[in-house]
Amino acid sequence: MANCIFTTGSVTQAMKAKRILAEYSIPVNTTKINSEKSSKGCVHGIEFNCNNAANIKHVLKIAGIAFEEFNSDLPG
Amino acid sequence: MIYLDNAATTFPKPLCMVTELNNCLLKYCGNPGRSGHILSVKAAEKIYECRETLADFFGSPNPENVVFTLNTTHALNLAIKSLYTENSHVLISNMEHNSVLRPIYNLKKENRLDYSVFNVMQSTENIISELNRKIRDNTDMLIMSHASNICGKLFPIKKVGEFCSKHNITFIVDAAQSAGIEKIDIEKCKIDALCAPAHKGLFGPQGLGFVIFGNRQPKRTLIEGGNGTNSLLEEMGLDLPESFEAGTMATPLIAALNESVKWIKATGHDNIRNRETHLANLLKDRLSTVKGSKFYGPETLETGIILYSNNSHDLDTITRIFNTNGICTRSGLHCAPIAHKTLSTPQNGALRFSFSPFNTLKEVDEVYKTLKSI
Repeated sequence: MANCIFTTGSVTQAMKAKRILAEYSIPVNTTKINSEKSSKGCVHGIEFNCNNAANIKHVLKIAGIAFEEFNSDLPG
Repeated sequence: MIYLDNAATTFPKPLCMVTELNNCLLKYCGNPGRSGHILSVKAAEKIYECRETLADFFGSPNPENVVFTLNTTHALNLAIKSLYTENSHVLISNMEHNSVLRPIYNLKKENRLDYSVFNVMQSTENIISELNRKIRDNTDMLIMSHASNICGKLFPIKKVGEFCSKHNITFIVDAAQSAGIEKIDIEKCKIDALCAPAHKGLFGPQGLGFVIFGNRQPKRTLIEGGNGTNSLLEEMGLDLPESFEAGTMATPLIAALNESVKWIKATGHDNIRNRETHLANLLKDRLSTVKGSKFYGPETLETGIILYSNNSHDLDTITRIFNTNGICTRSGLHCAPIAHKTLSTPQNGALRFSFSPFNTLKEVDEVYKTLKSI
């Protein structure tokens, strides 16, 4: 199964997401996406097994952590 | 050496703090939030861990509301200038440090706001009465110290916080002299911005401070630049904390502060404050038997600070003899001229003895003997 990425507002939000998801026993890694793959420039997020995507969305929404599903919108 | 200048900077420091500072520099000091490699991620994790530690320590549910600064002066400037409203009225106490007075004075000079001073050296009931008299329709902010940097008196931030909340006034607390010594709960005290340094009662390194924001969202940044996020956008944004932390973070200092705060938690606020206050009271008792001794501030000491002068000897003479004997104190105005005016100290200020839990009874006796021999 491939890995998925949700971007967060900042590295701090990514860290917070990682901590909260750990409380639900959902493992994620924080990640940085380089500017050539994002229209906003460098962004941070969490990377995880795509099988967990639905659960992660649910937990982040409850925790009030804003996120976007990452799609490489620029050629990289 | 006898070090009694802990209100300026605590010394010595807990070994765990120094060890972690070294550890960071030796093992994981990448640039946090700037890259995805292992050292950058480890540094970012350490910084986040310290945000969590500080948020927990000061009763904030939001680690992201902890914004790191260079020191308390920087923290107060950030809090004041990011939260004030144009053409509003601000209340400050008559015991404030220049780090509050000067930015407020400067904003008044630029016709951005007006301010009034209230007397905090009175009963809580009288403070609230005075605030009720001085509040205006456009009063938007109140700034006060939690503890005086010159005499150590503690001020009633909980009651004043309730007053501010009731009147929808932004409440900024300068905890430079109380953080780590007196328990502070941001939510219970209804604080909108708590400003503190690493290097005093939190036993961290110099060159680091922080603001913990409460429920009010800062309206403007103090400085702009790179923060590793959304780098193609020209707008800095107003997202806590990164929008208020332009430039590379002080990772080794932050990692070290994380350890010193854990050390305080393990040692206990009360144990630290009780020991400091006990030693200060012992010295005050001894000094009161020395001819010409004069004290300022609370009759009964509330923290480990004594503000002192002597009618028989000028401050320079005392300080010079102390310096010669390896006794480290601080004399003068302590960057708080309005506070000295409030306490009616001599024109050139007074001598401050400030304790830490690392001081000893033997040191108290040495200081007393030295002063008595002058």
